[in-house]
Amino acid sequence: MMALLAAVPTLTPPTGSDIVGLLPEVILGGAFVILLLLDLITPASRRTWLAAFSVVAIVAAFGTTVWGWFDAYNNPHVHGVFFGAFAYDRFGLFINGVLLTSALLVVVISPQYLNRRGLHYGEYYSLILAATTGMMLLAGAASLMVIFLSVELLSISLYILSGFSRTDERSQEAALKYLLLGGFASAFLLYGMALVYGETGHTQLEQIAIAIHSGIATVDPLLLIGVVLMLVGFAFKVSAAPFHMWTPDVYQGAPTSVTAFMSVATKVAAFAALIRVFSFAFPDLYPQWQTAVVFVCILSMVWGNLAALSQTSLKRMLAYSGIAQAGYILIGVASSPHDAGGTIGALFYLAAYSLTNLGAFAVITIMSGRGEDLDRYASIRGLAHRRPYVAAAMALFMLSLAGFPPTAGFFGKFLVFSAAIKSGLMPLALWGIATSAVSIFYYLRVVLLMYAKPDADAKSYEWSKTTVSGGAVVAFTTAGTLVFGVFVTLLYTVATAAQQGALPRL
Amino acid sequence: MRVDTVQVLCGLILLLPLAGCVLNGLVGPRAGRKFVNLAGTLSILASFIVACVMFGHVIAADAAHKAITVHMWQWLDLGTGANLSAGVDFTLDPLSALMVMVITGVGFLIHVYSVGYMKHDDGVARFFAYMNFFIFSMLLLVLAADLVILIVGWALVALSSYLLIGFWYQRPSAVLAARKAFITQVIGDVALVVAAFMIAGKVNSLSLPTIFGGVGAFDKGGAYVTGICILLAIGAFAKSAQFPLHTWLPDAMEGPTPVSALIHAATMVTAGVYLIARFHPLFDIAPTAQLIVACVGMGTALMAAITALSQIDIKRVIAYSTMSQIGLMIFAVGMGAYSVGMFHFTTHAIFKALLFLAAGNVIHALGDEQDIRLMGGLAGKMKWTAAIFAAGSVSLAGFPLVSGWFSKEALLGFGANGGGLLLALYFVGVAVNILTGLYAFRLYFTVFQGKPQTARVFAAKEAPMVMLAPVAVLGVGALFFGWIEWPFPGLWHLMSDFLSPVFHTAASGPLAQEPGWTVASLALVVGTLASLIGIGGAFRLWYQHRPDAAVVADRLPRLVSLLSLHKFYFDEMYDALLVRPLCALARVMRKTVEPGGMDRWVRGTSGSVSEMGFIARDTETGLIRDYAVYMVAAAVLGVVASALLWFVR
Repeated sequence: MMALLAAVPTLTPPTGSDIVGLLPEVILGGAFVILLLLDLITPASRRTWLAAFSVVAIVAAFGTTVWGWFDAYNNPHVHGVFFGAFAYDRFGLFINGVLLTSALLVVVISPQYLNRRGLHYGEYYSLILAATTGMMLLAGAASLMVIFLSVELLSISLYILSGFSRTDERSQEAALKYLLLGGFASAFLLYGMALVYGETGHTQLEQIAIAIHSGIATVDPLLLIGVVLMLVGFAFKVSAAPFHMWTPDVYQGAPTSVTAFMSVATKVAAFAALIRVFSFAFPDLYPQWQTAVVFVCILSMVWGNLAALSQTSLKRMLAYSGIAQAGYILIGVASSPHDAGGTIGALFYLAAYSLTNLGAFAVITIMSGRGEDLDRYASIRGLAHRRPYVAAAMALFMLSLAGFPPTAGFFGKFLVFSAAIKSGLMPLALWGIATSAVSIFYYLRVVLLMYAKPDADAKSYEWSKTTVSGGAVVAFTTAGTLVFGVFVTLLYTVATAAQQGALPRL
Repeated sequence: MRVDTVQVLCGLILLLPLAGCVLNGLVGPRAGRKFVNLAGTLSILASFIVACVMFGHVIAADAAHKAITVHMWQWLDLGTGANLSAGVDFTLDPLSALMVMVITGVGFLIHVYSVGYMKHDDGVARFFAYMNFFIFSMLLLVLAADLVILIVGWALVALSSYLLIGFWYQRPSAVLAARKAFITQVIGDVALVVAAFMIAGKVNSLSLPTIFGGVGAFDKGGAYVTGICILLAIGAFAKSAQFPLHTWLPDAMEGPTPVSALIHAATMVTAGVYLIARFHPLFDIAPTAQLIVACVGMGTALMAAITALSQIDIKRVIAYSTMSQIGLMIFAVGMGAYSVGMFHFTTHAIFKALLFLAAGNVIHALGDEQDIRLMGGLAGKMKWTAAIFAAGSVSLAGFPLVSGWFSKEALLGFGANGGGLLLALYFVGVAVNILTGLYAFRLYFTVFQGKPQTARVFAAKEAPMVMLAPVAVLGVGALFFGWIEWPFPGLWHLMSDFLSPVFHTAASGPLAQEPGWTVASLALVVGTLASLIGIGGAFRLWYQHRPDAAVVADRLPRLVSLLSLHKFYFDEMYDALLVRPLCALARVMRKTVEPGGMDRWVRGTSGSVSEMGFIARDTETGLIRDYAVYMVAAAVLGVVASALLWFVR
């Protein structure tokens, strides 16, 4: 507690440029509050308007993010804003872009899904906005305190969202599990932060990096334990093994649109924080944390891919696949201090994964029946014969997740593997390749099922009609998956700029 | 030429057919026939217009700047170290401009024709989607300035060929033919990819301008560059149906006739010729490979011409004649006469597309009858088609002052001017001329002259305008296009002049030089006489004597007819040497090796992997306390390990 108090600087009013650095977060946070009030006066039948309002807010935040992309470059805030508590840099803005895109797509598919499931309440959108705000803050956080606060902001919103289906036991169970284990993980994170603060005397990442680099803080077991405990906290959030146990249960129990959001946005935001802390604040501890990250990375790839093999539910399979994908992104993290390509690869991978995975979940969302999610393998058998376009899009997402060219997923894997090879982590790349060979089995199984002939005596499932909004989201994610696989440099250039602009810099 | 203009042009010409493909594929089946016809043909018309603009740009450019390579975007970058990258780069130079003109021009006419030909087919949207996709792939192939992109185009044309040969997938023979074609193509693809690796190994680049600029890295005539060229040639042989990879082409006639005209006559099968012409800087320093290519070309020309003599399927006769004519082109580019090789490619594209389309009219009029023994006397029923077919036939046979004559005599003249082996090959070429006249007019007389052989002939009607007009346009070209280049030094040489910036001289190779007046006129007289002898022989054998159509083959010497009728027993040979042994091997593998050896291993591996999957799944108990224990255990492990590591250090 003392450590917490000591970290608070003397109160000085923020300057204009400080506010500008937080503009997207401010807009979205403000919209979250207004939305809560709007919900009170919006009639129940008009709740789609709330979705529209959220879309406007997200687009506005996206606009300021794009503006900030150029502003942050022209006026480099090399020490961050708010006394270094928040990094106003291209790294954070890149992540903002990914997060806002994900949030936008989720909001667009939600009304139809929520109506069908009988869950259309106004809080849903405010919670999505709150969670997104928290994630964006996390992406830009340059102080241990801000990291912790934004982790809590996003987590609490997501706890509620995963229990959003109030009458569904699975959803309630998911929320409870997520809450208890999330609290557990937060404790690890906070404990780790406390140790790091105690050893270095700073909460600002830049100061911590300087302290370690200049030898003011000695590298001793307590600091290393702090680093390891922080890794535990982040690994929980990105659902990397062995801290992933909550993932399948929560993903399956939560309403599908929420799962879609969680599976990409949480991972992206938590990875942003992980990369900022480990690759940019702790590069001098690389020899020490590398082993731990590699361990988590290999375990995630192996465990996620193996467990995904024996699943029979799409949502659970995608949960395990998400664990495995976290492992691949960790390859990029593990090689990042040696090779800039590691961070670039991880950023590219995150963007590609977001689009693809969101697309896959969007397909499940828009196909879901009245009152139930049709996510069993049996229920997608023969989908291609009745919904050729949706099935083709889903097949593309599966290929992208498995890493087939010319999809974005291929280049994500390509970039992290080549970064690993360049930084001397050849075995890690080989593990990645071997486990992704295993993953092809369960991804292609979905494709196979969709294109198989439906059984004559099989129960016929009531797939919902594809609406304009759902179709647009699937079309957008399909296009993104393909465009970034063909015009790779589009995303690669942006990711490179993000890596180059990342704070703190020594 | 401005870089940005060329970028826009290249982008447009590729995107237009692709857009047609996407439109036809996605909304075509629902949008109805009219939409499909319009989307299918207009997209190609639009890209033809772009091609004309490109062509104009190349003509207008001053002599030193005829070639330009534009970089669209970087596709793959292996970064530092390997320093290999694949850019989406395109080259616009006279060679690619010529190819683009032929592909889109002939392609457009064939698309228009297809509107009529596919009128009663339910899969018309699929058909046009594939056709547009083919045009896209072919344009990608000829515009590519990077080996990776070239290989992508190379493989995509094979894919579209596969899809179109097997277009009527309910017919087992079509599916088998498609498979045969694809497997043969893959053999060529592998050769091409290995060649790319070898080139990259020496020049350390995959960009064509860099490769051609860096040919100094190779020993002239050395084994390495010869190996590369032979591999490139194998790729070309597979694509262009040359010996010994030629057996797929006749079977490919299972596809709809417009496909045969576009892919298996005018464009795709000549990609091999293009490849060798494009890689001429490498071939020029590998004379051994050049000689091999020339021999294979002429050998195929002879073999295919003999085979064409006794085929009884109208499309197969034309298919063998295509093989034979491409053999001549390969002979030309093999001996370094690139310009005349490309000239013959152009005239051939015109008259061969014409022959196929006109044959399509006949097939259509007779209700899908392809056996020429059951035709005869069609000239009275289909005057226009007969006249146009005759124009194509005189062009093919090399009748004086008709397109085919100019190009064929020009390339034979180069052979006559070369010494030794080339001269020998030239005499084979003269024999091919005789044979060409024979089979071309055997076909024409049997189909259009004589007595009608079946009742269906009496019911035959002239093709509709939409199928006649494109063929008529081609007919004009088949008669007069060749006039742009005369096979004498100093006369009109529009084609060679146009292409000379690419090939530097009319024949930059060391093997063949442009013949002087004496050799040129001598070769011309000999060649023309040979063609006329062939045509006259056909006239005597199949017109004057009016044999029973059923015995057309028996009018040849016994050995020739035996070999010819059985296509030199290649199918039987491959069947006995490759297919049967492989099938037998496969049976042995399946019955004994697989269950005993492989399956144990494979099942063991996959079994243990899925077993591990179940174990991994079963850790997921659903109980929060278990999850918490895992987390704590892992965290404790991490803490202890990091502390221990510190103390150890």
